[in-house]
Amino acid sequence: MNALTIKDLCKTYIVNKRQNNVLRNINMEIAEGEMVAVMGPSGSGKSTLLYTVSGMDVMTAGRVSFFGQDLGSLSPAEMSRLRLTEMGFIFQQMYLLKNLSIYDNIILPAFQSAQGKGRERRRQINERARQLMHKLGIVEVAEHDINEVSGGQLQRACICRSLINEPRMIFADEPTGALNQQNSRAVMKELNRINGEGTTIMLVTHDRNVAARSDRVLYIEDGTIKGEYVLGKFGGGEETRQRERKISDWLMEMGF
Amino acid sequence: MFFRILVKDLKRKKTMNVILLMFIILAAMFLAGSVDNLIAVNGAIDHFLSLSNMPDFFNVALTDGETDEIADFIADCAFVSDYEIFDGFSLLDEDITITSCREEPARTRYERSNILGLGCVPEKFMKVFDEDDRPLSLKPGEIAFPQYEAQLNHLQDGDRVRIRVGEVEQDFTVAAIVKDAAFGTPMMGFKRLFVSAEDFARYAEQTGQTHVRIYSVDYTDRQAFRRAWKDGNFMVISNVEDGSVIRMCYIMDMLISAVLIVVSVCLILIAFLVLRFTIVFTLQEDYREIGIMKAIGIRDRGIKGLYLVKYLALSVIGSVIGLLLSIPFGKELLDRTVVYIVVEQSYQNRMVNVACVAGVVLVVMTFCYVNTGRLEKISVMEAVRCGLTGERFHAKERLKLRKRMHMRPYFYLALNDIVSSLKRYGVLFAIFCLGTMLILLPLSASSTLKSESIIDMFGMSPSDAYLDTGKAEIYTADMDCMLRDMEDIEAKLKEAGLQGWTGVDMGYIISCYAHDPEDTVNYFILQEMGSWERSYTVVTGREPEFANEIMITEMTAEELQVGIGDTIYFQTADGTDEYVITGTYQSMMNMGKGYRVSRSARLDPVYASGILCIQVEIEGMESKEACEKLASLFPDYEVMGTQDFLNDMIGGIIGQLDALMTAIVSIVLVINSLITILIMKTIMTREHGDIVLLKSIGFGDGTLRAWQTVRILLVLAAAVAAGTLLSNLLGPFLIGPIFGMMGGTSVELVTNTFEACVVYPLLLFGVTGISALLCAGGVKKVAPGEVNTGE
Repeated sequence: MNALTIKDLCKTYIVNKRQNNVLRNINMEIAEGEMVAVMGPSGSGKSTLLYTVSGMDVMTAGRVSFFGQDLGSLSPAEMSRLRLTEMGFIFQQMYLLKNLSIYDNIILPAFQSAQGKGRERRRQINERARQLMHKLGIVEVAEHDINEVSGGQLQRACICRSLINEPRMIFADEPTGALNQQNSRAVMKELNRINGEGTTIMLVTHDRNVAARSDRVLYIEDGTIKGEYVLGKFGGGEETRQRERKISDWLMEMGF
Repeated sequence: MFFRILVKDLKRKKTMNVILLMFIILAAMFLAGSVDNLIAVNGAIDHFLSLSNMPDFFNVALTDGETDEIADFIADCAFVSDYEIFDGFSLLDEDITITSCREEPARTRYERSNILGLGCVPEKFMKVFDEDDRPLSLKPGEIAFPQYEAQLNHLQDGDRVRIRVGEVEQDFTVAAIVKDAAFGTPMMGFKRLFVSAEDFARYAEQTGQTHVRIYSVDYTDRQAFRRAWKDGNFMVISNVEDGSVIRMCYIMDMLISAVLIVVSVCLILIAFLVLRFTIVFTLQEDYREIGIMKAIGIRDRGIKGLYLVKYLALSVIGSVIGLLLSIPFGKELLDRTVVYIVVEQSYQNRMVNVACVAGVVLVVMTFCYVNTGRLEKISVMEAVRCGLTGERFHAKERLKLRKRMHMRPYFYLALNDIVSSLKRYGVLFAIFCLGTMLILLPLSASSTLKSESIIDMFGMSPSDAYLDTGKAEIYTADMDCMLRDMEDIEAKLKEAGLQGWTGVDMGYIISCYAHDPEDTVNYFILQEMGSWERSYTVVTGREPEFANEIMITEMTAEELQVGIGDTIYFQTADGTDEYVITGTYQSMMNMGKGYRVSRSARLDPVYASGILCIQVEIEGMESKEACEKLASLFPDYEVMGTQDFLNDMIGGIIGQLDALMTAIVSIVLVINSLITILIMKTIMTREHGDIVLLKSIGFGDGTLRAWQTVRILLVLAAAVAAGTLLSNLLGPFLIGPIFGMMGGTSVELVTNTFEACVVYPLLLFGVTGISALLCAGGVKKVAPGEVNTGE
């Protein structure tokens, strides 16, 4: 079953009475358990594609099917519920609520989705949050304020938050864009591990190293998908450099 | 370049700048309008009395129209420098018929509050004014009613009435509702109606007599005039010397003025609170930009200058708009509450308004200067990071979500926000708390006045029923008639198989003194009469039992410097009578001054001034049942329970207080609503990023609206609780003295629990909650996709 099926997707912005076609007849599919990276020059429509197919932005035309569910037919409330329970989001800027600790930021979406399900469910959430933080190595900063920790720790907290509701798919917009190399590698390692556990991932990136860890890379330019490169499942280790080189060559071919 | 930055800033941060502008407008409007009112009401009574030209002395007397000893005395008295006589026809309810009125359903029956005198417009003394505060002028066929009477009968300009004097009837159009300085207040027992001189002359020609006369006198020598007046021993309804008595009758207007002053002070406080909040908030919003300007090398002085210019521009524009709005705002507030007096609206007041808005500009600039001054102390990095990172970090006290498993996330977020930013929400709390107190304090005064226990405070004893036979004036002149009527009532009750007792408190006005026979003052004296023997509440000592014993009010005791065991002297035409004080009591009748003598005291009926009602007590019956029985037995009499009787007696005061309550509640609700909307807009602008984030990760609009609304309601709940507590604690100190001024020296304030704890809190929650919910609707406009475009 496809996690995401996109047909004839168009997105148009009207800026100063001028029509700006950001996405033009996008057609693509992402299989369940796949990890797909979207690359392309700035302003090509990568992020718009991510936000439109995840239901955060409204499409102008076309059809997006999320695990067989037509997103266009959902009401705003149903769409919110879907984003809360079945989708996870990681952004370039590590957006977290300022008045909440790292831990509370992580469990907040889970508490929201567990409304009316009793104390037992909330205890399970706390247990899951602790496990996630342990896996991502941020247990020691759980009680810290968001301005007390490093960018890498913040991004890992965002990953924990995106995973807390056990989503079927994660949408990541430049997840390593604001991180140094070391943190970037750690975050990607986590995403590969999550993907290995069966979670579908769609991510937008400029970074070839990040793209090299995906199963497939899509190249987008002027709102259309110009090409795709299938890398296959990432195995880690020395393989990364080879994959990175292949992508570089392919991107050069694409004119990136 | 600075100008360009300024223009860009004004355009880009439109929401915050508009909010700041709105707050400046509100602050300027509240400050200017309130200070204007404060000045106006402070000297309003004196201004009104002076405008109407109150004489040094005046009295009201009944005449037969043929002999007039008082007029002769005044005309001949060497100590009188000027005088005027107001002739009036005494009118009863049945003499006035409303023939056409705009009120639906139309009414024809007229109900008077007091003794009515129909006369023509005075020209010299005790002048009257129309609704627009212009001296009254009437054409033939026109009539003017005093405010209180018009309110009681729902009369408006343009309504038609028919007035009968003797056998002569004439139709009139209501041309004005007048403000009468001398008799306009509900506390004065006499009211004047006015017609043109031509119409009055027509009545006078055809009926040949007038019934009531008011003699207004300016004297040259007070003591000499008083001696001469006393020697004349004239029969009058009442004497009023100097304006102090009239001034005391405006106690409710003074009370309303006092409450208005409190309201004004609260509004000023609110204005400054919101100004400070907004300026601190908007400047914090600009941290990052200030940091960037610092980073690119713009000097602190330059940055400060930029913000000072911006705030100067906003405060000048806001203040000018606020100044313009303050005029109708202040006038509306005054007009709704101070209805019986002409309030001075002078050019000086306008200057005060201008000074107030200049003050607002100054305050804005001071706040701005102080807050931008702080920016000099912070580093570029701190400023760029909005003070959230680095060395300036302070851990915030907050709630742990995982420990609050029972809480819904929106409730947790709301509560956590408040706990995390107590200072920010403290402003809102203070405003809501002040608003609650503004409602509850006058409510306490109103509830106390409306409570049945207030009958004790009028020096009376409660009974099952109170009868108004409509013959109060007749009883004053013929006490035997009254006693016969009381016996008839008892007899009729007996016929109906009921055992009933009747009683009255007959009032007398007699000259009294305590120490100096030359220093006599007319006092109001009550004496219990009838078969029903009552007991009265005393504060100290005991009730008078013997003919030479007397009980005096606490205010009189204080005024005369006497106590239990001292002697009071009554001076009458027959000589001087001595009375020994046996106790003190509190009474709000006659502004707290008066005496009560025993049943056996012998007072000359010639000094009788009237009764309020005939009180009836029926054996084995509750008040309601007794009233119904009496109403069926005596259809011609007005039968009242304690509450109705109190309404009849002090209905005007309660009405005025209710009008004030309505005005205050409206103001508080509007303020709560406005402040809620503006503060929420301010906070939501700052929290835009958080809202976007929560929407993007799947929080629905409903949850976000609930978060924003509950936060305000939680602050309101805390403020209402604190306001209620403070009102109860401070009520005796703030409201008690007002009753004290009226004679209620030992008043226990009554709290209407239902209104104080249910009705008004619900109203506050309803209006504030709806405002918050509507404002929180703004989250709908926030698209989750905005997370793509950064904070």
